[in-house]
Amino acid sequence: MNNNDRLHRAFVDGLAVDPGLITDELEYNSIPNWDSAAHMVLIVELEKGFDVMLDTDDIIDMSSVKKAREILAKYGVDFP
Amino acid sequence: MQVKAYGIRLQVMTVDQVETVRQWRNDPEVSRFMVDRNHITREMQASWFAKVSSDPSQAHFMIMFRGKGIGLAYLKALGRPSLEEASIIEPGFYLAPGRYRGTAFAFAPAFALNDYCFEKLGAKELRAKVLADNGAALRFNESLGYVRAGRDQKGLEVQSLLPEQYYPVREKLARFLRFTDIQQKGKNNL
Repeated sequence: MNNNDRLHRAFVDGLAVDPGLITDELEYNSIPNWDSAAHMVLIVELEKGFDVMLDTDDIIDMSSVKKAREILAKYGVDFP
Repeated sequence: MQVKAYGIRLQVMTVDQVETVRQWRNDPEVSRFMVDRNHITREMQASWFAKVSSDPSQAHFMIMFRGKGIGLAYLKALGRPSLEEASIIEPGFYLAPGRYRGTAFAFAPAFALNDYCFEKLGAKELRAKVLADNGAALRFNESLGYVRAGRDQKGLEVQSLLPEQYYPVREKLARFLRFTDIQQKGKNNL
């Protein structure tokens, strides 16, 4: 499983949505599933999946799939 | 009186914050989750604040983060004249329109309120009242350990939280979000 697959899996599990919904354009407020509780699960899944400890501001700013790539890149995660 | 926990500060609401809170409350992003969705005028807000600020059965707090107000929290004693005497308390909060809404950050004020009710005020049970169609709030409360307890006379969904339901959840979630770390980092900014 590469990092793109891990990211995809974290969003599917975190937001409990159909895998087909996970695109770079998916962002907070675009689907009803993305609420505070789901965001917490998403953060947990991302931290577990990539073995990182996200900073408070990065947790708050994790507002889209695209943004998640940018934030995780700061922690040394490469997305081919 | 103020509560410091999880990197935030709950500060008793003051008269100079009344207008800010009114603007948040009138924003559709906030008001659509309220029972009363009518526009609130300055006069109505002033009257509301005069009433609640002198009522010992209620408390309203500004949620402060890094020195800035980011939301409003409240507590209401159920069945008793004061919060100190109440064994059942209704807590609630909303975050201001903008950056923090819809994020895991919402757990910080929720944990701070719950800890304060159980550990300082000695509440035995917390009860949340939520619009039945507010799925996000219902799910959020369930993720804190709340269980559904029926509906009240207004048709609001009632959820109940006991300490034994809350603490295991807090331990699990706080561990992932490292609120202790947030608290340390936020000390200089509180």
